[in-house]
Amino acid sequence: MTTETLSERLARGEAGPAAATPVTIVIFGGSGDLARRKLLPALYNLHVDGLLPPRIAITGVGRNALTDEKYRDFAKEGIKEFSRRPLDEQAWETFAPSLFYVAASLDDEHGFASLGARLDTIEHEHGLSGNRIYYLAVPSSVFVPTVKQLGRFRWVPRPTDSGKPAPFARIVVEKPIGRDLNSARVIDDAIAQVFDERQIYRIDHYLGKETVQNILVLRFGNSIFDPLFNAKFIDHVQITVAEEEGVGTRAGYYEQAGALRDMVQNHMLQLLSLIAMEPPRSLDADVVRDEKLEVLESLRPIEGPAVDGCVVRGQYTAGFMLGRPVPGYREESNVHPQSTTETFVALQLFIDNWRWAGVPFFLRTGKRLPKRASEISVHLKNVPPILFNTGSTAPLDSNVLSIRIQPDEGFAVGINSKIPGPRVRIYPVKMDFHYGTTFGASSPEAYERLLLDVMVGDPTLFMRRDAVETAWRWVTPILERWAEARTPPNSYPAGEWGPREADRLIESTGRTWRPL
Amino acid sequence: MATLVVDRVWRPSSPETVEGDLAALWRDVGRDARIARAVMSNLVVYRRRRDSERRAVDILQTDAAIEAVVARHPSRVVLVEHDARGQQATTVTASVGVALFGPQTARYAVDQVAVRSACVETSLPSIVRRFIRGDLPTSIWWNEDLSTVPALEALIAVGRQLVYDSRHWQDVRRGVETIASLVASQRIDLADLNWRRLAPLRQALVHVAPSLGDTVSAFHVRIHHRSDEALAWLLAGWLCARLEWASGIWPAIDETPHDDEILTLAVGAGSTALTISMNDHRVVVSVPGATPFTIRVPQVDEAEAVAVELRSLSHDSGLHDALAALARQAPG
Repeated sequence: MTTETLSERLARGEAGPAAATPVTIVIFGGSGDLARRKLLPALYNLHVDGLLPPRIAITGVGRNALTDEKYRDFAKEGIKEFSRRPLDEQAWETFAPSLFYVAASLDDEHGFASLGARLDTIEHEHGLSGNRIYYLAVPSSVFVPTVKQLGRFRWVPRPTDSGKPAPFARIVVEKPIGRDLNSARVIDDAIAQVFDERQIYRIDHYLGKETVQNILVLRFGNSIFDPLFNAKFIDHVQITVAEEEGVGTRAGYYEQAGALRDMVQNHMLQLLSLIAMEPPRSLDADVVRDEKLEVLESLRPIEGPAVDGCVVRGQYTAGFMLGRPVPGYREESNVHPQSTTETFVALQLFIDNWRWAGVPFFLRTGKRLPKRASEISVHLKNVPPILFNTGSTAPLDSNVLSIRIQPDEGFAVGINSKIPGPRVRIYPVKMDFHYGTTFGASSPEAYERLLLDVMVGDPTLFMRRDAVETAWRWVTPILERWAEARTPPNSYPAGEWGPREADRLIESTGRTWRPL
Repeated sequence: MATLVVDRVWRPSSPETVEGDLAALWRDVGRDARIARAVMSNLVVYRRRRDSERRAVDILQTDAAIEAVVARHPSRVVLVEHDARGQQATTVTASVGVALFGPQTARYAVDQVAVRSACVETSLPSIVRRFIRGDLPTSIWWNEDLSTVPALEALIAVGRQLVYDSRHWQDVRRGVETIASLVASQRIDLADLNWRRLAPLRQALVHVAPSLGDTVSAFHVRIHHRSDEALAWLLAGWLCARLEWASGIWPAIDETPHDDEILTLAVGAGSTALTISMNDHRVVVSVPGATPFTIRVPQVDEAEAVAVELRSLSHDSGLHDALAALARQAPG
């Protein structure tokens, strides 16, 4: 006879639901765009896959006066439009009863009191034990007052020493967390007054993408790659996050942010830390995040005049996308006609540690670029100019490992190969792996994985406070230099790969941007 | 949803020229477009040969079920139609094909080899080994009822995983006996599609386990099934293994052919019984004194279910323990 409990015996060997603990998810901003486009479709897909806890309530909170029924209609429309799967009526019938809505103003104590009463009722009626996840799908300006209200109403039990509070409370925070180091600290300090760091999940949806998660597997699950990932064999690394869209309806936010804050400070530095980190000793969340932090802390600062030589910023002007004319950034609605907000950034950086000493990393991101494409490419050093690489006019391509993050997730390796025939002619062939082709079924959306991780309590794919602030510490001198300089960004026509200065930045080192 | 086949080509071949004929087919299909040759594993599909006149090339042209699987998990298909009646005179015919999937911009294709054989069982591995790629895992998909067409030992020897569906068993007792030796020897990982169907109910039971107390006696357990006896047996075997029921102890299993539910588990009796009932779409859990709750049953067609098993390639201890318990304790 074993000493296991009956529960443990039944659970042995079962994959089971990834999230089994009953929970109430409270979405502040529940009737907003993020909830409609991402969160509710992601929760629906988790339900279809049988991955949600059997007992769950999803409560949207917003200013709009909606009934539960109207909120379910709102959710259904969002799922129909944005879910990766078509809506299945039978699945919907079992999902809809877990959706609720409470109209409440976040800065109004009465609103919070009525929200609390409603949550208590829902939890009592559905046998929920009071575990809660608070999702801040609201503008960052509302983070602090919302968190203060949560604290004031005593809705946030602190974790016990074992790290397992009963019931638990977790908070999910969307970027942007601040607009520089100081403002990030203000938000982090306010959240820290109410939530322990172990309860805070700072979401960066890039980290939920399959290919991004695959970076660690690729590097540390294959003996072919890891020995090559260092300054001895790598010539340089490029990270590109290109968007086709213009600023669209986000001008209000984007005017205050710009590409450096919107993309580089979070997504791109997270990708950089994954591709450059040392092997962690385990997959424990904090061990992985410690190693990522090491990379950020090893970034060579770019300060003062060095910013002008290492960082290029640009702003799109009128141009063409797929043959159609599109306006320039300053002509977009809600954008100041003399705006100096950058819509493009290219930069060269170095990681001053043993592994990457002297290896340049080139990052570029922008809006209104020719295509939507996110990719990390690792360029190996050229073979010596002997044997097959003697032709000065047509040198051999260097081997490149490219990791496509979107669209068409996958990776490829370029290898030089002999063309069949009597002469030695060499052609660069590509070994290409496509997730969609190889694994068939569609990958879960990033938000599905990340929401599941919050329910399970696994923070590995979320940003820790020290990483966010270290990234801001590195980025802030660049922002300060631009603010001092008062020079406008370089311009580039919509539909081009950024300003000419971005090409010069990399060409001055004898390299070129990888065509995408 | 994976893309279904967009094109296929095939040609008669011979056992000796399969690889050369496949290479020629690939040259043909790759002449006008870039096509990725996708192969993650070998999928050996076994069927008993019934029509001796049918040609190997014919069976490649019509098999949508296999194509639906390899569209999701690209594999080299080795389709074996075998006459295992022990002839001394060996006859083997073969044909090859390439099935193409995906959109024009990301087209991929898989190898297909069809073999019709009539030979002694012991010579079958020499045929199959010739056609599989040795550097890839080999799964055997048993397209027959294991309770009436037992798995061939010779074929098991070349595989890493045996995929089958106990829902098709005409005689559950015999099916269990057939699989018992494989469970005992642990020579191959077993993947029963019916076990996967049972997963939401097992999940529900795990979830309510704290309300069951420290122990559950088999005498308090009753299982009703609509028409899937094997599913009920798998549940009973799993409970038997996990709850460590003594030898000879077995729960009551009844068939209720007109029930709306596929499977119902009741623990206890009358108004104090905990019941878990499953249909095609959901599992409803009713615990005395608490609000009932439901668990979604994922909608997975057979092709996806097979593809998921091919991808997993892992030892399922729950299934093995359930089958071992069935072999040990199920009433004869």
